[in-house]
Amino acid sequence: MINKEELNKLLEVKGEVKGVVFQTDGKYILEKEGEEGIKKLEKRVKELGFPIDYRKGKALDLHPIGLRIVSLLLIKDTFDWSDGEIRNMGYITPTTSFIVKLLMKFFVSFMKFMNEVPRYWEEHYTVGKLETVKLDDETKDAILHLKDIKIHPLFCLYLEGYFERMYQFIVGKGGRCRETECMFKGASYHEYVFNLKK
Amino acid sequence: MNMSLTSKNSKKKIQAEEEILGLESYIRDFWRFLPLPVCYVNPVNIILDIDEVFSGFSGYQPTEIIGEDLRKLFVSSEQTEEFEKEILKKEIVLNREMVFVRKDKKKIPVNISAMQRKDEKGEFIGYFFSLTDISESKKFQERLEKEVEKKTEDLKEKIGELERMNKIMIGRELKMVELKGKIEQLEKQQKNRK
Repeated sequence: MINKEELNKLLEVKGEVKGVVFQTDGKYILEKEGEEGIKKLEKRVKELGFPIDYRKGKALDLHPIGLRIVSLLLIKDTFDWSDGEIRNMGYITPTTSFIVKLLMKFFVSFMKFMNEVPRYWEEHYTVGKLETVKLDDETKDAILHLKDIKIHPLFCLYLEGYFERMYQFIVGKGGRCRETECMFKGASYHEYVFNLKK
Repeated sequence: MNMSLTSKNSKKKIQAEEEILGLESYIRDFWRFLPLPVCYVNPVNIILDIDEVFSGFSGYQPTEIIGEDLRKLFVSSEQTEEFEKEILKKEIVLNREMVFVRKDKKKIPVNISAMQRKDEKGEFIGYFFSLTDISESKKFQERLEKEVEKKTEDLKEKIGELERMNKIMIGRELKMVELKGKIEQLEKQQKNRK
């Protein structure tokens, strides 16, 4: 069961996120749970007093980054979803995100895309740093490090799905992404490893 | 001085963001309005965006088909490859005939037209393509071809019949001439006997 105090604490985390993430959350819920589902979530959000607008929020407006996690936790709790479903939500998100559409010109080749990934992060979040640490154009293997951001393990999982889909936009459906190091497991960064399914 | 510069910059930023939002709404409305199935593909032939009509036409939800290889949508991989090569060379490709495969595996003959997209440096970054369902005109064409074929067959049969009749008639004519000759011969013989 969700604890309001814990959720409120998340709002104290420094940093901001663009409103587009709530738009994509809303679209996913609408597709998965229908109009009834989104109404149920909106009611819950309103009752708890969080200013999340899943329908009319502006894609580029900035919100406290904690709200991103509040949204994920409330979705998971409201629909009794598994962690895997949250990962899948991340996986589906790039297909409906307006910001991803703005960045489409970078989905032209593996190297170009991977080199532009840090910019992708900056387009969404005002904290954290995404760095490319390994790139192999031949094998299409890559390693990214996400630094200076530790909010919630569920977010790590969401991002794993999200990054996997973005990677597939370049290498096709055989692309996989796994978080191999995590700040919640003692590492000094989150490490995401990308490779083609063998 | 610095404060006023910051304030100006922030106003400009807000203005730019509002313009982007306006553009977003315009693009969304435009994609929704388009009466054609339209799809956006990147240079490695992965589908990156589709409009609502495309979704209805193909049977795929955007979340299902975005990120898939273009080849999933057409019967012939060779034809799709040729099309991909063509759009790399030409800015616009018009009305190339191909066979589309819906999610329910139904095959639909289509005309595909495409237009390249380039970035600010003029480098190829992908292409839009649209589809026109030509099932009805294909059916009409096939019906027409069958009809023409049938009419040609009928005509051939009639000509054959006429030729046969002609042969018979000519045969009879020749026989009559022969008989006439024989009659004349017999008449002559009879006269001589008298």
